[in-house]
Amino acid sequence: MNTQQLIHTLASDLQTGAAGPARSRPRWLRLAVMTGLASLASFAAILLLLAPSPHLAHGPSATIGFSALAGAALAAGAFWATLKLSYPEGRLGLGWLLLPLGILLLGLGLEMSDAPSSSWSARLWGASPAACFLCVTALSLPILAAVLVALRNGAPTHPRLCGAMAGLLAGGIAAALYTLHCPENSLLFVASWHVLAVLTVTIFGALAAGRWLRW
Amino acid sequence: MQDREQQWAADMRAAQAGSGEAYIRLLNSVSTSFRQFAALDLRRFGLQPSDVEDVLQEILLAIHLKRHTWRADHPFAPWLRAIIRHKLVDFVRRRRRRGELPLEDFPDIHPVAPVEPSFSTPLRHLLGDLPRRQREVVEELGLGGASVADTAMKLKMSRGAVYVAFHRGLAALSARFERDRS
Repeated sequence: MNTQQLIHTLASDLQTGAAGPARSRPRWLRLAVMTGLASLASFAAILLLLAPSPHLAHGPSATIGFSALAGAALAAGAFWATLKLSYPEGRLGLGWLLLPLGILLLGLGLEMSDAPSSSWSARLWGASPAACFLCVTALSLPILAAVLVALRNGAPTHPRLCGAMAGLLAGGIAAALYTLHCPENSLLFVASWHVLAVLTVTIFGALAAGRWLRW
Repeated sequence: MQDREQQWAADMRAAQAGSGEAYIRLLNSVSTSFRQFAALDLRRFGLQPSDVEDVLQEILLAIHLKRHTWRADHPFAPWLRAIIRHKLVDFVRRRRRRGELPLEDFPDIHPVAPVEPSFSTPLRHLLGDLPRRQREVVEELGLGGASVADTAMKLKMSRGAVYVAFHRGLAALSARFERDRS
């Protein structure tokens, strides 16, 4: 096929494509819907399968508040970054990361200034670091998968970066939701194990997107 | 430069609204620009003059398949540049991996790419791989320039089936491009 013929073929495809992708819903909406649905699934899994956090009974603690807030800020920023990178000309911006990091550090600072240094080790390790790490990772994966499916309709020219942002998005949501269950009551614990889980999901996202989001 | 941006953006808007005429004008204009750029800058990317049309066709197909990712309220040129770059880098990388790049063979002065070379082997080769129905429809509509109604009559298919086969054929072509790369 020579180029001229290809151009005419594409043009006739344009005219036959009554239900072509050009008339589909805006990308942010598609991404938001997919993210929301998968988050609901993870949310349901927490409610149905895991016991509510014992600390919730005494009202939201500082740990729950700070970690939920940091997770939500992470998810919001990563949603924006993912969306931006799903367009061919999209560039990576990371300035927004300062917000969730700041929230986490502020909470940590408050906690550490209050707690004697002898308790730090117990706070860091908690009772179940491996379980929390695995839970946050597992709860992130359905969200990550849904986000990647939504992204296949896009055209990221940096697929791995885009996938990494999708991982941060999924991890942020899962970490925020998981505070409803997490039996630990220390931000030092959260900042170590939950953040480690989020970073793991980020790597998953980058690897998966390197395969799935090529075009 | 500014004129071209405005023309491209206007044509793309019209194309997204369904104007084949504007779309053809746009793709031709993009092709011309790419050939000029390629004639000057080919060597920097380690490509040979004979590659120009192959890369160009992949770029045009990518523009087509991802045309919904251009937002009408955004400038067109950066979107186009990003796609061209993506496809160009991809093409070069695939080439390197196959070790098909005789860099020392490069002439000092290479001829400007011919305006309309006869056949692009990858596309023809890929077309041959399609299921029979899809291939026939793409050949009739795309290569032969027949109308949908004529094609439907000739192949004894409904018009809807022709549309569907045509879409599937194009989608399969792009999937094959993707598979070839990995």
